[in-house]
Parts: sequence; C-alpha cells; structure tokens
Amino acid sequence: MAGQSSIVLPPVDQIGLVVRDLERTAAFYYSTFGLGPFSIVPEVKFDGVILRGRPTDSKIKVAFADSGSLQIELIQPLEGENIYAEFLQAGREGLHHLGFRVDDFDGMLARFKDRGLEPVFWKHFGFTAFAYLDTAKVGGVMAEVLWPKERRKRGK
Amino acid sequence: MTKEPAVRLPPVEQVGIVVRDVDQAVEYFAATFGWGPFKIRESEMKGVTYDGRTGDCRLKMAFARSGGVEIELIQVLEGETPHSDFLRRHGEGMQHLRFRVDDCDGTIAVLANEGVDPLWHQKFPGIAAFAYMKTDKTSGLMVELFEKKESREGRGGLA
Repeated sequence: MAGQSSIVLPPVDQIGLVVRDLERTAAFYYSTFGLGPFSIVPEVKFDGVILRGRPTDSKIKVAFADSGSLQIELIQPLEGENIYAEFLQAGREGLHHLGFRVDDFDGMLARFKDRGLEPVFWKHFGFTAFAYLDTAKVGGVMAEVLWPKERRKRGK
Repeated sequence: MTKEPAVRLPPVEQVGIVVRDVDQAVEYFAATFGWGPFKIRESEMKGVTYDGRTGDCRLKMAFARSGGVEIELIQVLEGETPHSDFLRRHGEGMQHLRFRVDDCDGTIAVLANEGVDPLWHQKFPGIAAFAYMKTDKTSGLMVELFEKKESREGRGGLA
C-alpha cells in the first residue's frame, strides 16, 4: 500500500482541563453538576520535562475524578514554564487535551513523528511517560499519549 | 462540609470540537488518530436562542465514536453560534462536553438557582432539547445539556 498508514489511537481515556483556580473549579463542578468529587494532588514536580525541545522545570496542581469510564483531569500551573501556563497566558481556560493510554509509547511517538507531529511537552520517567501532540494545523486538538496502558489505581 | 450537588449529570457522552472545515478535519483525524468512520450531516436550525436573542444557523457536523464518548466535529456554515464565537476567539479546538439529561427545562431551572444560565438553546417539543450552559465564564468549561426522546431515535443530528 502506498503512502503512510493511519495511526490508530486507543479510545479516549482522559479529558484534561486547565484551570486558573483548581480548588474553586473542582468545588464548582461538584456542587453544580455532581462531577466529582475530585481527589487533589496539591503539588506535582515536573523536572526536566521537554518543552519544544528544551528541558524545563515546573510545578502543577492536579485533580482527578471519574466520569463513567473516562477520567477527568484538572490542571493548574503553579510555577515555571509548561504548556498549561501557556494555555492560560493565551487567555484560554477549560478543555485542553484528550488523553490516550498506549502500550508502545516510543513506537507511537515515532509514528506521529513520521506524520510531522513532534511532541510539544513530554518526558519518560521510567515508570510512566507522557507526551503531548498538538494538531494545531488541523482541528486544534491536543492529544496526550500516556504510558503505561493501565491507569494507576489512586490511593485513598 | 460539602453540600449535595444541585444536579448529578451522568458520564460525559460527547466531546465537541469546533473546526473550520469538517471534511478536512475528518480526513485528518482519520489518518492521524484513527478516528472514524464519521457520519457527516448538515443541519439547518431555525429560531435558536443565543444569549437572549433568536437566530438561525446552518451547521455541518461529523460524528464518530472513541470508546465511551462520541466525537463531534462542528463547522458553522452560516449564522452566529457559540462555535463561531469560539473559532474567532481561540481558533479550532475542543469546545464543549455534552451530558444527557431526562428533563432539559427542569435542569436549566435548577441550574439557574446556582447562577448558571443557558447561552444557546432550543427545544423541539416531544423530540429533543439542548442547552449550552454559561459555565465557560466561571470555569472554562462549556457544558451542553441534551434531552432526547428515545422513541424518535431516527431524528438525531442535533448539535
């Protein structure tokens, strides 16, 4: 068959939102829509994460809740450079990315690279890995490729 | 102390993505994400209430599934809608999450008490109703409520 074959992502697993005030937003979603309750991780250190080819250190606050089979993730940038801070700086707030969990992280990134999509923000930590791919050219969807395939069980 | 939620929406059923050109986006997402096959449809909508005023619009939409959710691509062909506003302000991208409700009017009334009002909404009596809620200003997220009478399944294709 001539040409590139299609990349096939697994079903959407996560919907990610970037917000200015995570606690307030999580409380609002739960009290108004029954979305949540969210479990909040007050600080996540993102050291040496590659932002468009350059290592960066940043801190974020995250929260997770389930909506059926999907995970809803709220992200508030706390300090440093990352794509979440950029999103807010661009005057955006809200829906940010769709997350897809894969078995073959490196292979998936290689296939995206073949199609001209380089990760804009990514790191392989050894025990877990993530990479954001921005389809800014068409459709404007930020896809997050996540490894491992299975979501980690969140402790109580 | 957390008070009881005003409403309890069911799981997200749809992610709405505003695009400039549905045909181009369908082709791109099929090749790049493996999404599809998409069902493509044009819809002429008369008398939709948008921020208190009534207007007409024409949309081109494409629908596909990704596991538990539907992916909706939306292109505005004519008229002013929250999608055309989104496109002007942000460009293409994810614009709303849709949740199914049994009673759209009733849910709107409960949410009004929470200070959340409908932005873009319409009722098709006995068939369906939808309402995009003004939650994007408070939290960035546009929530769409959607009510549909299951006996009229064949009538789908609402935004």
